[in-house]
Amino acid sequence: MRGVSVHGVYKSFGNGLVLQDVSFAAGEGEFVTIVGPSGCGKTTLLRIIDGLEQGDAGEVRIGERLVSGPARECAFVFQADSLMPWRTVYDNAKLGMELRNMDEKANKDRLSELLKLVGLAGFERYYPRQLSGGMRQRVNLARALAVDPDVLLMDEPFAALDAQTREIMQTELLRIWSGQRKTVVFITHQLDEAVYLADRVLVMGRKPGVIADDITVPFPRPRELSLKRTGEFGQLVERIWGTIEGVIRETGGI
Amino acid sequence: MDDLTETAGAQVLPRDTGSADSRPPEIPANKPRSRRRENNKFSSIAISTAAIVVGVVLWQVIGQFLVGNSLFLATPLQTLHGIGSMWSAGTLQKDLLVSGEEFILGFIIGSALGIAIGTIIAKNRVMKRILSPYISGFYATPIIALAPILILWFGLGISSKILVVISLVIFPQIISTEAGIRTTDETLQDVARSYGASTLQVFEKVEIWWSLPYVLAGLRLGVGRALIGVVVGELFGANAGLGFAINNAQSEFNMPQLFAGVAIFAIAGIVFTYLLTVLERVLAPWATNRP
Repeated sequence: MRGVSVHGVYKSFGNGLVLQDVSFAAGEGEFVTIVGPSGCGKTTLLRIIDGLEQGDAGEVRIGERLVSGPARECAFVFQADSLMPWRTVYDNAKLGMELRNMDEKANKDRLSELLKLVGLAGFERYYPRQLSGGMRQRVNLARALAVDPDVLLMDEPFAALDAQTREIMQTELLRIWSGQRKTVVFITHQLDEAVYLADRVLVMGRKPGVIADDITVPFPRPRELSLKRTGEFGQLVERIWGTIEGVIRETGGI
Repeated sequence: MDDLTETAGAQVLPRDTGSADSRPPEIPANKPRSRRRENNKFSSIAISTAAIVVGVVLWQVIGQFLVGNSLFLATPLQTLHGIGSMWSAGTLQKDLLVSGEEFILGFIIGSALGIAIGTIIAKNRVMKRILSPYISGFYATPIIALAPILILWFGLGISSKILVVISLVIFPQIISTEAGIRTTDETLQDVARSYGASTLQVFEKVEIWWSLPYVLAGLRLGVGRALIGVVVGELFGANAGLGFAINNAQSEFNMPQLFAGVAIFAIAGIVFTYLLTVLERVLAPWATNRP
């Protein structure tokens, strides 16, 4: 298991500075969520950590290793509908293993176990279009877990789901994570999701994107969904919202 | 269906943290839908068959009682008879073989070249700049007008007809293939790259599959155009083939045999289009029979 450290990362597109001197670390097995207003460069940051894009300056390390291209230690969970429509559930989940030349035969049982773990046993031969949005995201998650990464990078994976399904998927993710203890960097714009899932919540400012706040979430695990209805939870969400509101006001409206 | 399966999933999810053997959501909710689809399929075949029967009967009635002159309009029965007499004279078999060879060779070569060129211009900007004026020019012009020239250059035999067919099939296929590869979803390419895929692997695992339905659509367009190429090529000058037979029948005012030739082309069109639908269902089951 390895952690992630990001140090002094800058990135600009055209003439706009998107990320300015972004530094943070996620320890081994830590669950970190990043929240911030839209357009603050959250996704760009995550893509740089994964090595899908290069920062203009600064460095990203997974454990001790400096990231320079798509990182073998990471698996990226994209937003909704990033499944190959021509592959069945099983073959979609297998894609990462295929591309990383993992022995498919040796890992066959593990893949079946994994599909069971994310609640997809019996759906192996379905095509994505036959699945609901929540189930498609389960496949997405299974595909990422299948390569047994040290670090899971999740880019608003539940954003396209309806409110109930989203809450179910949150508890699901925590259940799976509690068994595997990957390091997770999870982007969201839902504050309650960020607080409910995380050990630490990072708040990003925008134009350019900087880390504006770093909040440790004190609630013990395992966490029940009812935690969201408690006063302490509400206060923490309120505090984070205050920071984001400040950021939005400073940078001029939504 | 979506809601159903999600709720089914939900039952096993919360509360039983960590247990790996949580029961699967067990409602394959699209079972009843597929039965309904089967009913639809049956009734749509029945409707098509009925439409053909009604059409043929009308044709027979109009030909026999309203027109009453086989010089203007041969009836279905006379057409059948025409087919029979061509068969027993032995010309039909020979003509079918020649036309069939022209069609199959032209269609396969034209489609293969179209797929190859479409792929090249989708992947290489310089090649696209060089070739696209020619491609859009040839695609937009009635290329069939070139048939007499091709026959003049390559003679009355089958090679000139194969070239006519190729020239008709190739351009739509280039355009479909190029569109398929160019529109490949960027997120899906990113997914492959994030797992370390090389450019070649992105092509192999994502772009080929994404463009497959486009290529198949190009093939379907090509079938009709290839049949046109065979007939027109043979009408302009040939020494064998179904188009040649149609031309002869016309000069002899033998309407039953003329209609027989046309009917055979129509049947070939239906059969090949159907075969391609089957091919689509086998190669791209995820893309066909969308609800």
